[in-house]
Amino acid sequence: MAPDRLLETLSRYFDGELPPDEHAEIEQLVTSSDEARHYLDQAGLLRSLLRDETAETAPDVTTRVLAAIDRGPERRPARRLRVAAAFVAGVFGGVVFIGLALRQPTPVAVAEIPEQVLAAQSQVTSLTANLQLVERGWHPDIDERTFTGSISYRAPESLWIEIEDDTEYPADSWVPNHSTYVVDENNAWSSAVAGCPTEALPSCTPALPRVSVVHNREPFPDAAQAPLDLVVPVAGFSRAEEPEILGYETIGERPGVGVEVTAAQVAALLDGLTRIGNWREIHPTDRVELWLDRDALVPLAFTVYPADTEDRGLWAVRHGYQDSPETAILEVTWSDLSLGEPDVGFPTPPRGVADADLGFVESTPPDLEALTPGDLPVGMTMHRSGTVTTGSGTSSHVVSWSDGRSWLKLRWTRDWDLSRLFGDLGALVREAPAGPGVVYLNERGDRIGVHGEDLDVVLTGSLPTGALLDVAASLDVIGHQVPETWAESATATVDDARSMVDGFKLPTGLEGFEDPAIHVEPGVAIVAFAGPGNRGFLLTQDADGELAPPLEAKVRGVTVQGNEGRYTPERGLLEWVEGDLTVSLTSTTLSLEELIVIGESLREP
Amino acid sequence: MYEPDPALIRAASAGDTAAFEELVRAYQAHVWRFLRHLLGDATLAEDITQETFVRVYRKLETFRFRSKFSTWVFSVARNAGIDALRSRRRREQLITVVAPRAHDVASGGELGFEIESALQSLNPKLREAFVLIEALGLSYREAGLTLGVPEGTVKSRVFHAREQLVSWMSAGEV
Repeated sequence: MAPDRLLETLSRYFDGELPPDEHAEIEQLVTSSDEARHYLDQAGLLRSLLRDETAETAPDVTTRVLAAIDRGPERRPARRLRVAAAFVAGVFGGVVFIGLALRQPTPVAVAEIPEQVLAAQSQVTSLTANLQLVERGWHPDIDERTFTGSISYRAPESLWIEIEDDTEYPADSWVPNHSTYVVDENNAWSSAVAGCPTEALPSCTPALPRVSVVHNREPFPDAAQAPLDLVVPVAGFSRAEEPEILGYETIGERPGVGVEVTAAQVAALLDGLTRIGNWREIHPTDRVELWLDRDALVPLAFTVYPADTEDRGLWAVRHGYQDSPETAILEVTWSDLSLGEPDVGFPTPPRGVADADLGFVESTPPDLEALTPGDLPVGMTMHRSGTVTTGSGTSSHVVSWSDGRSWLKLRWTRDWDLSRLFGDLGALVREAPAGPGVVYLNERGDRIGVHGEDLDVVLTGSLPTGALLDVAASLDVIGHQVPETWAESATATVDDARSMVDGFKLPTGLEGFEDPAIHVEPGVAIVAFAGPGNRGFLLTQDADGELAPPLEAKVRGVTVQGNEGRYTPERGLLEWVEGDLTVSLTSTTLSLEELIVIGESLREP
Repeated sequence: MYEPDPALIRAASAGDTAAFEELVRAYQAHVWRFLRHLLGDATLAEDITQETFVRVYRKLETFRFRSKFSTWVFSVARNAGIDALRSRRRREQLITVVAPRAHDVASGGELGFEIESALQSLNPKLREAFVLIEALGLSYREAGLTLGVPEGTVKSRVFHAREQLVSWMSAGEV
């Protein structure tokens, strides 16, 4: 029996799905084949691991479900009509500035703001401020919700956000959206109400908050980063082009500079406040007026307005929102801002709550001296180091450095056996020279993987890509190209792509995006462009020369470079055919208008 | 897997809240486990479990007793889970990549267990078939009805999922 056929038959045997005659044959084979017994042993271990986890307690959602169905699921048709009416009116040219008056644009060196934000992160060592929030459009029965709160930060990664819901709800059945979020280096906990579908509010919201507690948290973990963009919005301005200036203004007695960005660009800032609790959603193309302290570049205020596009209007209808581009849906103001205050104590988690162990143990890793970069940025000092050990004993070593809010983290292992880069770089990467070897950068350029001779390393941090590359190049590890069997071996240069796809094109005049990550296969080139925050798009060129049938019902006809194409809003997919080439641009964070501009700019390099 | 008395389903469909509550209590743990593996996020799975049973309630009158109630509930959960994955993709605004983004085995994520990381590194179609068979104990036929694919497709997906996971385990990760 061929090996693949054998394994497939063993798989069915293991599941008890073989007919009796084959069953007997396989049982005979198992007794004589070490390979078959090994396969079944491993499959059995896997099953026991999966079924043993029944010890984990499943939540009881009965009360929430019954409350939701009691409320009734149907949306009122009037809501759709009102949105549609606003849409037909289509006169959203004016802009209303709410809560931030007297904005008179002044000529400034706007181009320097992204650079200044990145530089400012090392200057902030602590921060306290009060917060005022206004949210609109959360639910049709509640015009506006108001909140007060506070934020306390202690460099480099400790943060406490307290938000109190001051809204006067029409009935007691509405559960206030109070929340507490605390990251205190090794420990983190949060308490907030659970989210509910708009149509099931208010009765589906559990009266008791959802409390989550974790300990043994590694420094700057990938999965549960503290929202440090609330302190200095580094993610929002990394890779950013010159922002549109709103002007200078004094906000809360501090000198501010205002810029206009999209919600996708400052997603880390917005998510930082709304990641727990029951909040409305914000569309990635929504317009954000962000005011930063002119000296410290910490946020002072921001206001979010719905984007004035057809797709944004349809998205609002789907979510049950009655948004108008003229009305702010979220306003946040920092007040009584204080920098460099003495250390503040952070609250401890409530007692009696089950906590999760994230497996980090502080220690001095065995290779620390050899792996300390020779070119650490000035001011960086060691923060926390140790070993992360997961369920079965697999471990990797971690060391971090920081300077104010800026940070750098190195993780390495000598036991990497998978056929892809260590460090969760994603499938699209780009190769760059580093010292005598090569390294790989993820799409955003904020994560660098090094495949060494006998160890694998990943370097992450809040520094600009160039600074991260300098640090990577100073490691005492020579990076090799990945083996041909690894997924990243299809990483290509522009010249590679041109040779493999006739008529290969790239955008021209594109600003505010990282150098592209290119992946090629015969006749197909896939190019990823990452911008600031979550902005980004994917360009695919396929030599098949035809469009596949649309997967979604709602498709719109468009013209790109004189070619008829189509746009699928649900997937953010713009596609057309040029001669023998099928071209597509995909993005969930850029508007159709932006995608068309990019499509029109495509030229052969 | 528990199968309710048809009278209980009819009562719930007719608006008997106590009957529906009994159905929720019977299946919520199974649905949550399925969604937790599908979504890789226990908290999101809790929310989508709630959403699943709201949808079940709305659709109960369309259940025609032509399949097991359990597979029908799982198919509703699967659709709600896929909607959540799409919604999460939009919310996180990920750039689409050519292969599913995998999490490092040793990255110490919230779940903290390699087995979950390995599951999340599977193609979602392989993952959902594998979880139905392996974690919930459904037969190939039941999983096929849940996923809306032929039994042979389930067999193939489970085989490929198991092959990848066994290969990964054999590499010494577990």
